Amino acid sequence: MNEQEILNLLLAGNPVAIRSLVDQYQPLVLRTARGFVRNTEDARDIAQEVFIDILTNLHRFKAQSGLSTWIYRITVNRSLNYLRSRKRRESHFYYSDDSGNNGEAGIMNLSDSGQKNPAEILEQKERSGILHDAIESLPEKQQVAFNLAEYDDLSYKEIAEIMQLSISSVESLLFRARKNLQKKLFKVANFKEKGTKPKSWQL
Amino acid sequence: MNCKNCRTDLIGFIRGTLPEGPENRIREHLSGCAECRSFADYLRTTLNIIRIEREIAPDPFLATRIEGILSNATSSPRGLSFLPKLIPAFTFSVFILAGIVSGIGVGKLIAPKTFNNQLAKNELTILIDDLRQEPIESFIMGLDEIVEN
Repeated sequence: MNEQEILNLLLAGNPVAIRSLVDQYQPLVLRTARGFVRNTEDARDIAQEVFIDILTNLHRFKAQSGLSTWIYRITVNRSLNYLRSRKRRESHFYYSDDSGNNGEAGIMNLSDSGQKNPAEILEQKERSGILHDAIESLPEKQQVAFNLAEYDDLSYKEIAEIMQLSISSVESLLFRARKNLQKKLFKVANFKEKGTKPKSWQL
Repeated sequence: MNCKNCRTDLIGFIRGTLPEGPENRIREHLSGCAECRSFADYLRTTLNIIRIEREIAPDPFLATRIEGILSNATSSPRGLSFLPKLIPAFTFSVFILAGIVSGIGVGKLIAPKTFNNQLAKNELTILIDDLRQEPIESFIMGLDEIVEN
């Protein structure tokens, strides 16, 4: 079913429309949200909120951009709101343990790892925490551009349409995002090589 | 190419998005620099996590849950839907009122007590009469004239 058919079903109030929308776009929403959050459960929570937003605000969709572009925008906004509210909640006391779990229970999510060796799973969780720490430290626009490029494999043109920027702005954002990410990961890699651990207490 | 320039866009090199010239220069540098090669491997392994994380199995019950949430939202009585919005304003008003009432109560407790004293009034009257006995002009001018009663 293409975008227009789903849109027509939704506008007509067809009961099948919600299921079609969710089936078609759930992977897109989950992938995008996963770039902003640290675990699959949070990505699923955001996905639920995104679809509720879509269905309750369908009257605001002006069809100037495609349905998928609109859905990307809602997902990015919801994900950023989630990050902001999480940072507010953690502003009184924030603890990041050395595994990069950032205070969350270190429950191993085997569906994320795709590997069976416990040592590899632990190392992957640590790297995931470090990666998300680095991504979250980027300025917001760089973070969005990077996540859309890396998690969704979108082209510069598609990212520009979603972020409502020019293609050259997106190129510049991505270049700076990658450069900043490399710098942060290089610092961590250097710490690892010297055998010390980065300070992760933040009060 | 030095290490700093090599690390300018290693992510682009790993993703294969660089033009041919910069890509060849980075490849050449990596073949000769162990530290940059080690960092490139670290970067490659870390970024591969994105490939793993983005593959999330869809939730088969999401559509059912959303239909349930939306139908609950539409079936709740509309007449009472404004109540949750009023609660914060009501609470705030109650606190303001409580503050005003307690302020008045505290003010009454610390206000000085007044008493009815006829003598004090008479003394005040006498003081006023004293001003007539010594006109203000002579007081200001510093004259020695004393007006007796």
